[in-house]
Amino acid sequence: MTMFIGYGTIALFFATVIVVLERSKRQSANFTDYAVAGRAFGSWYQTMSFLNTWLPGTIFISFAGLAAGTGVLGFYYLPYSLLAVVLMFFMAQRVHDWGRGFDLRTQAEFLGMRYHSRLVRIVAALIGVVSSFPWMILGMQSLGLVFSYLSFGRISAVTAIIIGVVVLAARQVWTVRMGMRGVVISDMVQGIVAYGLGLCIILGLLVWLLANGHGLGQVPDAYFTIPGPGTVAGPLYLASIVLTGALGGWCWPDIFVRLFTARSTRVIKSSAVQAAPILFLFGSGLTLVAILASSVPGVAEAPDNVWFITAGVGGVGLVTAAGVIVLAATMGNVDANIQAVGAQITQDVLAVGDNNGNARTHVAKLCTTVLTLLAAAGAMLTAGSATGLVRLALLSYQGIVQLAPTLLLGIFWKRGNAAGAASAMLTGFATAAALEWNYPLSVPWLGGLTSGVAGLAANTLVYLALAYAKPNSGAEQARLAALFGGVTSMHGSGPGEGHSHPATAV
Amino acid sequence: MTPTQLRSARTRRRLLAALLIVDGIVTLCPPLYWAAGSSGSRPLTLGYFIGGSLIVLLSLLVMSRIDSAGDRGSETDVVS
Repeated sequence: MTMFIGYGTIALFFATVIVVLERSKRQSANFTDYAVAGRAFGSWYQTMSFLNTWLPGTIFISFAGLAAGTGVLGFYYLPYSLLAVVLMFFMAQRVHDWGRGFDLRTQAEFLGMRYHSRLVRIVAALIGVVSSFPWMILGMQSLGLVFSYLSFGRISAVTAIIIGVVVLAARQVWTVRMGMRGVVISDMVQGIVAYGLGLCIILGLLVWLLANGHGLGQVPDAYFTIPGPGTVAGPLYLASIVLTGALGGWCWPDIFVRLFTARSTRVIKSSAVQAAPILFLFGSGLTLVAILASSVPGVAEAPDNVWFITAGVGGVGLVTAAGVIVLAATMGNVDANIQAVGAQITQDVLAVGDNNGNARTHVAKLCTTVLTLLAAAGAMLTAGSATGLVRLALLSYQGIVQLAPTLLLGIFWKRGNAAGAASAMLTGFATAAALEWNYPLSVPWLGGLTSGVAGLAANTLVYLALAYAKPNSGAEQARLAALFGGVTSMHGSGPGEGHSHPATAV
Repeated sequence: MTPTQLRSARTRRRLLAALLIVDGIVTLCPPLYWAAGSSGSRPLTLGYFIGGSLIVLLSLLVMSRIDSAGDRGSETDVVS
């Protein structure tokens, strides 16, 4: 009966998402409609879509587990997430205006346009695809814990992972058919459950923990230490992981494309202001629950299970709600990742068809299907032991952040050039990969800098050196002057601002 | 800072840049977290993360107000 309640509620939630998607379904007019939903969404859709992509289901598992197992260091994703939202505020106008003005649909296409270079576009696309794929596999596997808990001990861990993979793969049928429109609309439903219901449960658990003898006084002293001078991680470790999170976030193709789905710059800025308080309340509440729950029996032995163990105080109903919340957060992250990478492979790597014909949309659907099948197969094959995959995924995070100098300096500084951008990304990626393999935590002889930040330093140096050593040609300087001149202030009109477009506002 | 001053694009840009720098210092400056971490005080280590994040959140709200003041200024300019 308990398993029926758990799995039945999952089925009910899944069905609700599908009904909402089917009711909002409409044929994509062209590839822009398929890849960025016609740039038609308002601020609350943007907010939920950003949150559902930014905070994956594993926030309740690995991130909460880090806090339950080590203490206040588990808060580190809170400052980096809020810094990333501040960056969104600053990037909004230029990225949105260039996106609309030049009908850009992916991050790689954006960089290709900025640097007027096919090489930059392909390098950025390949780094994005290679770095994202391990996370698709891990995303599919992350539901294993949900289906294991909601079976209430009736199925094995590996079987639970396989069920999770099948559910997420089935969910991608609608991602393939509806493209970005389906992703954003479902993010609203999933986001309300994951972060709305999730926040209610977090507050309830916080009250329960404090009222039942699990206060800060019960947490070990070691949980209140921050890596500094003389620690194993090193004095610069915390600054490194916060910086990597804030800059790296905008380097993921699925996060960056959020800036293209809004109907205006103002909408993006409004969504930043709406997302920040939710992130703050949700992130600080969840991390505090995890730290306080470290004294709950069973959590010390399995910190990653802290969300489910603590929810156990509310019986079958609360554990089921906790599972649905993780499912909702995971679905939003995995479908956004698969959709964005599918679009990037289609138009930036394979360069198939054009925007107006159906060929590109058909190939994008095919790519998304193949990606889903490959990720599902990878998840099944590594279901027993994913240690190597986790290491690959962590390495990919240090790799993807190497897009940051090319992306951010490219948005705010005219002088950067294509040779510098491509060389910088490749140098940074190679440096980070080599260091990460040898120093997975931090580099001791660099004061605790992580491999990604060490790579970023090399990357930025190469970018700046080539910007000065090999200035852009006169024609390129004139093109960039016109490009940057289109957005001369936080409030000026950019290229394409105010153009009407066929998509209906949502 | 008066509304008229806020309508100046240069003033707005400087204020926004200053707030961004404050956010960077609060969240990334190692001596701050070294001091919080070595204090041995539980409220201080918790306060470093929660308080620092709250400062970033509040700065974003201020940035939005500054930015909106510019929008209102532009609208007034167009009307006048």
